Amino acid sequence: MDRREFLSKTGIITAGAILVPSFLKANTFSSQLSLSKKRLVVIQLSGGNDGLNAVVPYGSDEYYNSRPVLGVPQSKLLKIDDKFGFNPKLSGLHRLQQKGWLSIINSVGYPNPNRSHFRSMDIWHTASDSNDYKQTGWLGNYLDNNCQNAYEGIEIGGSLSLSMKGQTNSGIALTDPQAFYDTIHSKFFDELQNPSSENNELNFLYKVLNDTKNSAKYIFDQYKLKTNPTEYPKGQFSKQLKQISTLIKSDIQTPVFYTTLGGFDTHVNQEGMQDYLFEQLDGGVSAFVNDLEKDDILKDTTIVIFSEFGRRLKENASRGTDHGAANAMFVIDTNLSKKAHTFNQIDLANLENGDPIYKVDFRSVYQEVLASILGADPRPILGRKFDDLGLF
Amino acid sequence: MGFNLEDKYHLSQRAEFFVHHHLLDTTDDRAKFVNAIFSRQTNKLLYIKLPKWDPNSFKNKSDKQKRTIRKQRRQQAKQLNYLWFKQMMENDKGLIEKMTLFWHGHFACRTIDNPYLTLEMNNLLRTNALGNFKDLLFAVSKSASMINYLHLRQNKKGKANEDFARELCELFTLGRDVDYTEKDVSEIARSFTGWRTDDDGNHIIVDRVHDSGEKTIFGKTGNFNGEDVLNMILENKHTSEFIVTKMYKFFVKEDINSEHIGELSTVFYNANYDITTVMKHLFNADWFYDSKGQLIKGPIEFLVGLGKMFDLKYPHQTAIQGIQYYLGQVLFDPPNVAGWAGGRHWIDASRFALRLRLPSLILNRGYVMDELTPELDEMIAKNQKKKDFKFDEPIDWEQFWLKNKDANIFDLLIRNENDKLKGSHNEANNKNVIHLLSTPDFQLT
Repeated sequence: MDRREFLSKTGIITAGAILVPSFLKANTFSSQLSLSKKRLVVIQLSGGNDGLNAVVPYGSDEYYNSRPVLGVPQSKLLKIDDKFGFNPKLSGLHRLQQKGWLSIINSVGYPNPNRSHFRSMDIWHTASDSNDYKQTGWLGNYLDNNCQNAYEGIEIGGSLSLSMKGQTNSGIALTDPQAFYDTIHSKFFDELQNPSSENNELNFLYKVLNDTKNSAKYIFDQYKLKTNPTEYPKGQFSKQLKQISTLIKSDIQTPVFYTTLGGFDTHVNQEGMQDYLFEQLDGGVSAFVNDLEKDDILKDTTIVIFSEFGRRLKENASRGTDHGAANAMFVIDTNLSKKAHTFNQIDLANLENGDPIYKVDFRSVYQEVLASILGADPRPILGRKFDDLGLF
Repeated sequence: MGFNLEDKYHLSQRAEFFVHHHLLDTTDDRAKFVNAIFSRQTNKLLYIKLPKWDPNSFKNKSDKQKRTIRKQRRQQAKQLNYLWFKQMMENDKGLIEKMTLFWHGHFACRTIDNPYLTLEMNNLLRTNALGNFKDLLFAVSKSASMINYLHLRQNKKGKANEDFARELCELFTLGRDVDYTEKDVSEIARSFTGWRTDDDGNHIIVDRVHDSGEKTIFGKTGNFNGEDVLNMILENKHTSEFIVTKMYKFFVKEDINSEHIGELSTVFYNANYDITTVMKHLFNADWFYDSKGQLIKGPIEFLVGLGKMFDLKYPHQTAIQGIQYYLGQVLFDPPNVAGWAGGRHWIDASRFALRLRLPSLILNRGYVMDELTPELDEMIAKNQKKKDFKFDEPIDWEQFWLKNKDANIFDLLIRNENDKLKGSHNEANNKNVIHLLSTPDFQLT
């Protein structure tokens, strides 16, 4: 037995990679993902990605004046239009943008921005106002309202993001379908019988147990169906995207996938770190898109890339940037509208506390993704109506 | 009302995480039994040796030096996480530590990157944990931790920062939108302008930035300062109601009963917010004993209970902190100022699978059944890598059985009723114990 198999069989937990699971009843599978729906893949860039050095506003003097060290020279940029260019490390995203498959939504944020990683990430996860504390995430709310089974939201990672936690339904976080299956797979767990009880909490836990066992088995069975020979770049992030692609190709009935690339908190010596991270991001996403395109399933998939905040326009004294507010996010889809390409705008002459001011509320993006991609009613999920963007 | 063995299990597991059977045969008088829990609590402050706080520790330092300092502080705060976790398992500290954990979730400050603030906040919560809520509220409001966390330093005359004022009303005292308006929040923020701490962490009011002008708060007008506001908030009975509701959800059940809340609130308010009085009332209430098995254990509660049960040392700091993370409750690192949501929020499929596996990981190398042979055990040890979370602590089963020798193991370990499970696990042996600990039922208290 190899080490992975050995570890999972013996239940040893390895650092950074723990087990994971969820729920469902085996007879609820339909053979095809309902055609009105597409699959959503959310990529979270943790730490606060510097959108200004990803989509560089080279037409702006404020940009170069504020970033004498970190400003990316115009000559190196991959041109988008007469104002913006992609960081040279993002050539894959640039290619998608040139094809009309990638929308840059710039100056995206929310009122009264919070500059704490934790708080701002919570706000993005729960789609709350900045002075509101919610316990469930926007995708968790979607699972509550529209899904029955935990396997309908899969996060590749060690623990489930708040985004994916609902009131009654939550997604599943897993690093490896087999390890997850082995965690909950035991003769003892299989033989546990539902108690006939009036204790609501006990009944809830037994329901979670059954759902967890079923989902773990279903995901593992699907994952084993096909091998995915496509080559991906080296690194954890690409590996995670490959796992998602392998699951998608198995026709798993999962509308929402979620994964994270971390390390964007570039207060010090940003350039080298960001180059490295952009290579991971661009390499992974490009391989993933190509992989799905090859099997003609890219058309059924939408990718959303976001970060909890952008970074301050003015670079700091340590060749880095500090926490900011409004930022750029990306939506990748082969059926974007013309309007989807009109949201790359930024005003660096008017700042708030040194940061670009938001023009698009991120919840407008969620709203469209929920309605057009996942076929859900956004209203009960987001709590109120936000501006329409018309991305799809 | 009678007070039987199951009532004792229920009380001692809720109040003190877990108590061995042989320690419970003291008295069958409920009030005396409750009193004894309170009188055996020892208040031991958390301590590690730290260099004296230097407010200028980052001045004239290179980035590399700053990074080293930050890293060192994170490690020290992690060490405090481990110390507190271990302290919770000591027999004379169960209730006081559990109350401290309760207040940590209530006055939730994220201090995991700063050992100085961690020590300050944790020790003031512990000192007042069973004392008076008024003292606790004043101490927290004046602490460097809170002043830092909710931006009181940025709250200046003419340029108020409402962060603290809002959370004070919404999360710490009255409850969301109860008896206060947006206007009250702004005026309260003005009252707290200038609240800071000096270099030694002592509370000061900086006159230069304090707004001593007239304010109208809760319909009253005056030149109120922060202390006046705290007193006004404490005069409002809804503060008492809000606090006892949180206590009820933490110690009794999530599904609140308004009569019980009313009863607790009156007791708390009439006792001038004496915490021991209200907690004794709660533990003496008949309805407390009707709530057996209706609370989902929090991760810390789960781990500490298991630790006390087997006198575990949890020798690997990294492992225990990793588990805290994966189960969703890292001490000193609450998700936000609202604290941990609790109840069913602890459970998602991912965490649930781990919670079911953990007892067998800790006690039997991951095997729920009797499948573990000496050869396999040796192989596991050999294959472990340095990075792996280790669960290799020897289990002293002999002690476990000695300390619980007259107990029915189902009754000792499981709080809810489940006839099927009880019927099949009557015999007192290690295998049955591991089985019972690996059930959904054991997730409840």
